[in-house]
Formats: sequence, structure tokens, C-alpha cells
Amino acid sequence: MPEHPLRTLITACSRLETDSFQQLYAIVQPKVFSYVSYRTNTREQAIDVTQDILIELNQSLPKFAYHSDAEFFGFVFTITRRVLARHYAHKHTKAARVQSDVELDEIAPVESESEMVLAVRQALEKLDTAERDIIVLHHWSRYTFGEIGAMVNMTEGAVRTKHHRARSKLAHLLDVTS
Amino acid sequence: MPTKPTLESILAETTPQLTEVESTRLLAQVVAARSVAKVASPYQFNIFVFKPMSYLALVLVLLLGAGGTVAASGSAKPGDLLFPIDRATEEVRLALASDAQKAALQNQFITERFAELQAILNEEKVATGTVSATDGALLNASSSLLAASSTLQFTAKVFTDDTVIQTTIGSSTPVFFTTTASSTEAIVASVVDRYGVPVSFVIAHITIADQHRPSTPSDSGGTTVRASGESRVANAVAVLALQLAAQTDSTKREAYLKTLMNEVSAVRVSGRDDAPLRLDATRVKIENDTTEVRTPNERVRIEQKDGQVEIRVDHRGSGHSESENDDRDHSVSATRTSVSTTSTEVHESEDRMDESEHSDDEDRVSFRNLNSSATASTTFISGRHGGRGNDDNNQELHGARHGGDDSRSEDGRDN
Repeated sequence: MPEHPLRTLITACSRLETDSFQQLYAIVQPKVFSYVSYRTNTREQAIDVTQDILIELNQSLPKFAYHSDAEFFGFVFTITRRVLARHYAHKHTKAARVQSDVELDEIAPVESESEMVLAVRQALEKLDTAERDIIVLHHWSRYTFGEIGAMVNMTEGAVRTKHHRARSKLAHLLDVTS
Repeated sequence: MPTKPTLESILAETTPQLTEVESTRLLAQVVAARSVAKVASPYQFNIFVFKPMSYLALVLVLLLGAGGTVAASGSAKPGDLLFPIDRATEEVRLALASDAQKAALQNQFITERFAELQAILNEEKVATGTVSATDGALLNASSSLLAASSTLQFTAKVFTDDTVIQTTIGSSTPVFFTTTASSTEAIVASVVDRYGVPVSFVIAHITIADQHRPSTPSDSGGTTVRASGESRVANAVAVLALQLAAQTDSTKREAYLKTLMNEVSAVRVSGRDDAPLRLDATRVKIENDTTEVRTPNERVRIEQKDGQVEIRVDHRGSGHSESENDDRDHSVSATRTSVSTTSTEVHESEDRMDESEHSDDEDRVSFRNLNSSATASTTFISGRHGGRGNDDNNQELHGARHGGDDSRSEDGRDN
């Protein structure tokens, strides 16, 4: 049975091998940043929060026992939610709703975005929280439905169903074809 | 007609991404954060920082260290650093012992105290040269003895237990040694063995006298202690006297106190004109023939008059004892020792109070003791149990001597 690439990377990172961490960073960073961006006000905040998440992930890797990719991404998502909660609790941003929990109902408003980005954000606001998370995690963070199911504690089928409904709703809101 | 964009393309187009520069900078910061090792504050001492093995090591060190200290304290003498631990260990053993075991332990500990006092006195003997002289350091060569033959004299005093041989050269301080030999031949042989001098020489210079009584430390010339060692000996005496005061068996207590009295009375301090031991600093007072030990609750007084020893223990009440059977206010006993009789007699006597206050509800206990085998006889003078409301409940009981047996009895009540 061939060794899984992600398992190899994680094992190497646990031994503080910098090259391996660069490869893992290339996989994890876009996923984390895209999700964090939609949960923070500004790009700078998103970068700061992403940095905190990756540092915490890097420190936590030696304690993580790899079983599957989905479990690893769930591990990353747990860290992400924790760091975001801390970010909201400590920063007290005016624009974003200050909450100790990351169960936000709305997308954090942004200062300046392109018209298309703004339109997408406004459309996402009209989805419920679970649908919004699934859209963001699948289309922006590029997670598979199975991985999303592990992250949000749902079955893959339930994720697919919610995704289908959210996608139809979002297409209608944006007046695009789904 | 332009075609509508798909949701897929719009979401892909709006996906937040870091630029290559931002990504590289972010990676550098994350890696840099990883390389900065956490350093514990030097001011932090938190037990939670320790790992389990640290706890185990700490516990082992404490246990083994404490055990070693307690074991080491077993050989400590009064005045030593570890002696309080030795005493504390004994107190714990006493507290945990049953009544039967307690009496045996008390005797064991008192015997240890006597041995420790003797060890201290022996050290002082060595320090002052009296032992080394006896052992031959001063008189180590037969030639020196022979050269000094004109002024040399051996005096052997044969006691009922030991024979003490005194060696005197001119006006120098005599030295002593003790032997179990009792016949003339054996005594001469022991002197010959000790000093390596001819038998005829010993026979020519020895005087042997039967004493018909047990020996006392003073018969062996006593112990001369250094002025610097005086406080150490005094401390050992005080510790022993205080432990004796706690001895529950009054017969044994009095016997022990008599032995202590004999030991202390034979101690002299070097360089102070043959002065006796000063024990003031330890609340022990020795004047002429009287030794007194004071504690907050008790006073032990040992007095020697005309060859007789009188021992008195005063228990001071708390001031709250109204009951006539209150143990805290119980009696005092006194003993007299005579070297001329072969019987011990005890009987009740009239009371003599140290203080003016005296209540009517007193118990008097008299007891008799006969030690027919001893050449020294002891007269126990009646004790009394009395409850009084005053703070200082000193009582002294006297008795006249009369014939009796070796049993102890309680009789009589005084009012």
C-alpha cells in the first residue's frame, strides 16, 4: 500500500523538516486564507489570522496522528475556528460582529472590493450559515464534499444536498446559470 | 446575446488568494515563528512545568533523604544537630505505642540517654586526658613507672560490683581504671596487664581495700570536662532529667534519678578549681549536694544529705484542677538512700507543704519497697495525690522508716 503524500508531509513536518512544511503550506494556505477572508473584514486581518492559524497548525502537528486527509482538514478547520473566535473576541472590530463563537450569521463586511466580489458576498449573506460555509469551503477552499462533511460534522450526502440547494439559490440571486 | 456566466466561474473568479509575495512573506513568518523556541521564565517555578519523572525523582529524594536523616539521627547525642529529630522520632514511637509498649520504650529511651551522656563524658575524658592517662598514654611505659617508683602508689578499692584501681604518682592527678577482678591475685594481674610492669613491683606498691558497697562514678575519680564541653554535658543531663520526669514508673524513675545524681555529682570542670558542673543555662541547677531540674510543669530536685539521697518531683497544676484525682496535680515522692542498712522501708508520714495553701481533699499514697539483696537500701517516703486550685501545686511528702516488704501499696487518705 503506497504511502499517502499528505501523511508523508505531516510526518516530515513533525520532525521539523522545513521543505516538507513548505509543501504542506502550499496545500493548506490557500484553503485557509479563502475561508478566513470571507470571515474577516479586511485582507490584512485575513492575512494576520491565516498566519496565526498556520503557526498554531505547525506547532500542533507533532501531536496529530494521521488517519485520513478528511480528518487532517477537519483538524485544520478546528484550529481555524478557534483562532477566528479568538480574533473576534480580542479585536472587537466595529465592522464585524463581535462574537466569541464563530457561528456567524452574516458575512463580515468588506471595505473595498470589486463589484463582482461585493455581489457574491451580498448573495452569500442571504444563504443560511451551513449553506454558506459549504459553498465557501467547496468553491473557494476547494475541499471535497467528504472533507467538508468531516469538518462540519455532516454526512457527505447531506453536504451534497445542502450544496445543491445553496448553489441553486446563489445562482438565482446572482442571476447566473448554476 | 451574451451568455450568462456560470456560478462556477464567478466563484472561481472571486476566490480570495494571496499574491506570491504575500504568500512567501507569510511562509517566512510562519517558519520563523516555529524556529523561536519557547524559553521558560527564570522567575517561574511552577510544579506543572515538571514532567512526571520529575515528580517521581522529587518524591524519591524526599523520602530517601528523610529516611536517611531519621536513620542518621539515631546515633545523635544531645547537642548534636540531628538530636531533635531523634527525640521527635521517639515521641512519635511513644505516641503510637500501646500502654505496655510505652513503658518499655520509655526505659529504652532513658537507657539511650544514659549511654549518650556516658559517651559525652567519655569524649570529655579523652579531651581532658584522664582516660588516655588511664589507658597508658601518660603511664604508657613501664620504665616511667619504675623510674617513678619512689612516689608511685596503686590503690585498689574493691566494691561489690567492680574494683576501681587508682594510680598516683607523687602529687599529680590520680588516674583510675575499673576491673571486674576482686581477688588480690586477679587485681594484681590486671595492673600488670595494663601497665606491663613486673608483678613484684605491683605487689610492692599496691593497697587493696574492701568497700562493701557498689561503686559510684566519684569512686573512679569522676569525670573532668573541659570548660567548653560543660554546656554540652549540662544539656545532656537536662534532657535526661526531663525524660526521667516523664517516666511513669516512679520506682524506676527514682532509681534512674539516683544514677543520674551519682553521675552528675562526679563531674568536675577543668580549670575552675575542681568546681562542679554548672547547669543554670539549661534550667538545671546543681549546688553542693543538690541537683534541680525545672520545666514549665515540673521540678525535679535531687538532694544528698549525710550520705542519703532525696529525690523530689513536683508537678505544677494548670490551676484549673479541682478534682482530687486530677493527675496533673498528683503527688511528689522522695527517696532516701542509706549505705548501712540492708532493708528498704516505706511508710506513710506526715505531710510537709511547700506552700501555705492546702485543701482538705487530698489523697495520700504511701508505698513500701524492700530490696533485700542490695546493700544500699532505699526509703521511699509517701506520696500523695491531691487536687488543689492553685497554679503551683508543689507538695512534698515525708516518711519515717519502718520495716516492710518489697511490695508497694496504697493506703490512707488524708483530709
